[in-house]
Amino acid sequence: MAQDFLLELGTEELPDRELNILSQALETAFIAQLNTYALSFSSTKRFATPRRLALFVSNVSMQQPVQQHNRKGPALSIAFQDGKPTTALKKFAQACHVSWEELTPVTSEKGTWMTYQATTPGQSTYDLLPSMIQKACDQLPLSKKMKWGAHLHEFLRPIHWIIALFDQTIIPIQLWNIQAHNKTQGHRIHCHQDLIIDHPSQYERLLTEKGFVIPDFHARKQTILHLINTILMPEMRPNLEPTLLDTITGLTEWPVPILGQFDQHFLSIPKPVLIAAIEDQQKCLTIIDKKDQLMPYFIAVANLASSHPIEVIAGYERVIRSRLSDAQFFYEQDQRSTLLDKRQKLQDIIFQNKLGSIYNKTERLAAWMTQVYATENCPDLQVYSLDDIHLASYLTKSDLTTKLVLEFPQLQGIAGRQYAQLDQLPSEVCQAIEEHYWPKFSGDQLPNTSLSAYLALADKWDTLVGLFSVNQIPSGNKDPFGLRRAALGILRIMIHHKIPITVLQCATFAASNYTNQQNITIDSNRLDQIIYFMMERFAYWLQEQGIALNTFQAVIEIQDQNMTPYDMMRRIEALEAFKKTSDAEAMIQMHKRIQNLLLNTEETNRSFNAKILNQIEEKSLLETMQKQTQLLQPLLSHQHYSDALLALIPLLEPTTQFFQHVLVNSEDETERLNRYELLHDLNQMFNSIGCLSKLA
Amino acid sequence: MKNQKHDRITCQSLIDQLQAFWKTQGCAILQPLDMPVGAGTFHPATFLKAIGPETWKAAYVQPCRRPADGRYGENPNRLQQFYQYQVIMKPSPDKFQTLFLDSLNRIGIDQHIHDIRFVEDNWESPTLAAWGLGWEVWLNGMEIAQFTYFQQVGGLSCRPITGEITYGIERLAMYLQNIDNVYDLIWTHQDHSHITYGDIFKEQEIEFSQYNFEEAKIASLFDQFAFFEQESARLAACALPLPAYEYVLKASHAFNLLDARSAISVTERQRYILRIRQLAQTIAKAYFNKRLALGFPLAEQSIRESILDTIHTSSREA
Repeated sequence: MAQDFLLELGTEELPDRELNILSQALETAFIAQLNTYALSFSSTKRFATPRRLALFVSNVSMQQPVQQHNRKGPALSIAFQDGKPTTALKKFAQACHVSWEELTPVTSEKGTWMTYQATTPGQSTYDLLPSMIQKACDQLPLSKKMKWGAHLHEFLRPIHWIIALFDQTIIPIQLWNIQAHNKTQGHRIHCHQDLIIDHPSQYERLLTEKGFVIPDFHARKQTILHLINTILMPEMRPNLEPTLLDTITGLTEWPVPILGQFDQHFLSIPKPVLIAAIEDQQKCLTIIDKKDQLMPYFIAVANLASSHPIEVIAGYERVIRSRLSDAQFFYEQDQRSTLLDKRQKLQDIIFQNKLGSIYNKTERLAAWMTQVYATENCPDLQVYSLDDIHLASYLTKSDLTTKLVLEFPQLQGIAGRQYAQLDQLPSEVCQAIEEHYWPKFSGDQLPNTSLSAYLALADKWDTLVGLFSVNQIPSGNKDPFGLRRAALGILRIMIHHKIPITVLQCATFAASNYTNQQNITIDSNRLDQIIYFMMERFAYWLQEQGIALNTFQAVIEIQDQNMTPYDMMRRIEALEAFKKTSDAEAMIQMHKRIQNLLLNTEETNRSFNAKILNQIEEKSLLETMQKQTQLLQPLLSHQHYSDALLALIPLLEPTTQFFQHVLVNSEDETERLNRYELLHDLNQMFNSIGCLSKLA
Repeated sequence: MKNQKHDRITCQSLIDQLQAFWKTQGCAILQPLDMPVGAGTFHPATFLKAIGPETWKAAYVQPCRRPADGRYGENPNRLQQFYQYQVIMKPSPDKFQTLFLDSLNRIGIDQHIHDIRFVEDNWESPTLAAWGLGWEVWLNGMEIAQFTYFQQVGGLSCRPITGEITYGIERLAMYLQNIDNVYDLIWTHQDHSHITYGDIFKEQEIEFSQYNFEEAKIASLFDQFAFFEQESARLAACALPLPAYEYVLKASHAFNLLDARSAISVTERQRYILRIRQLAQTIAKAYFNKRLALGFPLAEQSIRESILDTIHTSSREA
């Protein structure tokens, strides 16, 4: 026997971006409860609108299965004294809700214990539901809780009604001081009376047909998409930004898209500004034509089937007009001074309390770029003139002083590029001003040009080293300055652009600029801490991509200070591929054996003498080693690590022979040390790409 | 066109209607505070009355000064002085949202025609050490009101919770009169003609923009700020939270003028805000203690007892 279950929380308008998080959490928590009590069910369905969260579960069994109890109590020796039950036994019986006579002694190898053994019928689901519902609701993740009225309870917004229905029966439960019943409310305007839900299976249909509410989030989104297509003219395509579409779905119960227009002349405003005003501020969709050009139209999605839609459209058009007029005004005002003039105002904007102004930051960026330029191994950067490099560094942050960015913070960088173009600066400088913020989030695009890439690194390293130096280090889920994101961005850029400098060098340059400018000393311990943080993020990022931690450790293990992130990545890729080859296991084991032998050796004299070798196997090993080293060196220097790993495989056979026939721990000290020296060189070869033994 | 506008609600009757509506909901209809403030929240009828367990329902118009928003009378939407209509209810009633929607009906916003939306907006006032959760209310995409459940005021956690509604009078009136320029709003009809918002306030906007941006004496304002701050701290220490609070408002306005004069850098700005916040917190505590000494006379009995209980328990433990 099984019945359907429905839970609905009716609320004031919930924050739209919390809807899906909460709705999923409710489902997960409730399923966990069903599993805890071993209650079977067929399927679940989630519902989420601004004014409700609901969960439907079909075919929940009406009764738990028969419960087998087998609970161990006190040992027989302490259960009775003088033939009478002790307090320990009585207490245990009480905890099991039985009298002590019902307990039985059970003997195992370890002794005898009084045990509660019984088979009881399962509890009825109806009886279990109140505590299951309570627990599931208690587990909802509430990002920003509030109280309301004189109540002491908390939720995201005030709660007004609760439905808890099992088949046709209301579950007697109070949550947030509200007694559950079977009445829901429809749309605020279109539905004037409470809707009575007689059975959980009616919920969705009744709300849709009588309540003017599409309770299913996904179905509502599909409705919006469908209705949009019915109002567009043939040449129009909606700009469907997924998060915006989710926002709109989260803001409506009965979505009705309407098409509005704005004056053609606003199209002279740069596209990102138009999008920021229409999409981000007004939560309307922009429209593009077949050539991907913005059209002077937009779609607003009302939460109402208006009796005079023309008035609604007129309203939205008026707001959009005023937003765009503002944007245009700001855009024109900002053009009254150049980015170079605007840079002066950065002296008033603080970067961080102890780290000076943003103006100071732009000076450090220029210094960092100059240092990298001077290392003379960055040919990609050296194609630019030092003048352009400095110009780009100085102007990275000037747009923070513009009215446009003040109004639309998300346009930082984008606005800078626009104004740089209007100042007629070199195109790659303009581009770098925008792209130095990239990647803005995990998975975001990377800077395109080398100048952009180096400038992005300069900015991120400056932030990272600066904040570490004043102890603003991310911990737990606290990372207010986005340092983890910055670290990941650094790694992705350094790998993608094959940046030929090490993380230590980057950090050291950044540190030296803080010392020169702000008198902040950053010692080597601090630098180590920063490098460690970077490597931690590296490992984390690789694991996200399904790369085993030990592959990363194999590369870290060889402690080559000259390795760049790009070089490390090439090694990691090669080792990952190598792991899957048929020789891998034998090579890994062989390396372990070599390392174990070397583990307990006294320090050798570091002088190897080939002439002392006397056995054929050791001579043959040396010969192979010499031959393969010849092959290996150019492969390593060209970072052809997969081929380099292949070049190690011929060592396997002679090494096996060597271990079978040659006694390393020879009585003769000279011979012994010499053999250790040979093994030492062999170990070096096994370590040349990554420490193979770590791959086990 | 002119005839049509005649049918539309004037600024004056808009305020009348709101007063009448909230009066029937049991709100005390108060008058504006006679001092420059940046928002209706600064009126003691909101900031101070939201503190502590006492029941409180009030509504009032509050002229608001935002010196930096002046545009010399040239911008159709921005003003350095404008009107808010403020409603405060403690505890926030269960039907608070419905009441608000009813008030929109009352002023002629038919919700079968217009798209009303509650869009998440969490309010925070760093100077008042106050925050709350709620919404911006959108009318066909335009923000016409703020709706907030205060959670903390003057650094003190609220119990019970105060609900606040702030209507933007000019915004609403522009909508209802279908007007794009605030200065064209009809304030009232008079002798077969009418008086516009511009007739009343245009010169004020021009002169005050000039004063705020060009004439306000920076050095004196800094001196004043220092004096107001000192005086406020001194009065709070004398257990005179009400006069102390007035000096916070004066300090806050001096700060806003300095801000409009661009006399305060971003770093300093933060420090000034913290100085005002410090005072607001001290005063909030002092005010709470004064009401406590009186036994919270306006509190509902069960709430009073439960709060007094908590206070006694914690003081005994301390």
